[in-house]
Amino acid sequence: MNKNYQELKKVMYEARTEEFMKKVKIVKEIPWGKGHKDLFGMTQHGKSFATMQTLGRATVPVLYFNTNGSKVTSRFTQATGANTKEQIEMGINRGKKINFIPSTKPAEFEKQLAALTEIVFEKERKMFFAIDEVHLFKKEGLQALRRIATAGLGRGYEGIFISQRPANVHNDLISQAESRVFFNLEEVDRQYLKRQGIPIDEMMNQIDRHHYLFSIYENGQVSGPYKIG
Amino acid sequence: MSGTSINDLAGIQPDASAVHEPVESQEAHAPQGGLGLNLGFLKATTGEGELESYTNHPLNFDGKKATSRILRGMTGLFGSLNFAIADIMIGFMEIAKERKIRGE
Repeated sequence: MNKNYQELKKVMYEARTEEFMKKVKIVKEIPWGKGHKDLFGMTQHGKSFATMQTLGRATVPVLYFNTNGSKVTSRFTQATGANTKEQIEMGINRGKKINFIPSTKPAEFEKQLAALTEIVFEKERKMFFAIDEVHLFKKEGLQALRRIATAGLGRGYEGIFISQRPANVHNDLISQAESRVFFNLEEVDRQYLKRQGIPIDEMMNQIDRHHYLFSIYENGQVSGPYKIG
Repeated sequence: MSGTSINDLAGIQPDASAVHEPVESQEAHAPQGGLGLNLGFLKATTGEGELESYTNHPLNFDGKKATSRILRGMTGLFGSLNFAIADIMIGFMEIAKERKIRGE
């Protein structure tokens, strides 16, 4: 009896999952619009994969501040603090996708982000400036992030602010974003986003805690669920 | 190329050991002597997470548990599925499945 019940539960779960997955839209990259973007989600839920697939397909230069030292695709050119300002500028001017691996020490990676922001802001140009784990920046790095969020668009830069803890992200980085992409989130982060007026319950119901699924909130509208594939 | 490094602009003197190992510059080196065959990869630990977490992975083309198991193993072997070899292996699996469906 118990075995039959377990089998029935399994069949019902698989049927429900199959039915649910029919609603998922398969996309090659995150279908976000123009402007700054937020990308939030718990670790191991597909955030990095979606970021790499999307940035890898970008038609403008990309500067990816890889705070965690995550693996990237072969489309990226690696850079570190040992590279010169001229090398970084040349890479951007040539349309490269730069994977900047910063120091592991918070005091140092804050300063490295601030230095890179100064370089980027010297010229107007269309590019993506993506920064991972934005909730970790507190001092010079946070000032740089806020500068990107409040003044970057006027210079042509679209900031992509990535974090697994949106509750610890500065409000400017959320309020200035045109597109917000959400993977599965912890309850404390959901409550925080709800207080910001984001319909997070509806978005989390859309993805139903599945790994690799995400939902987008843009121009007051919710869309999804999506999956990169 | 001459010029001011990012670290100099940032006013820091980083400890070289504190920088992440450059992922793309890692190259496989054959051991000295013998046939140069290193089977150490056979002891690689499988990837993290439950099988269910791989069900919806973009490379899980059929959503089956067996494919989830293969993806988890490949994650442990390669560290990530963002590699050409993973695409090639999954591609062969898809071809094999399509041939089976067509009865070839």
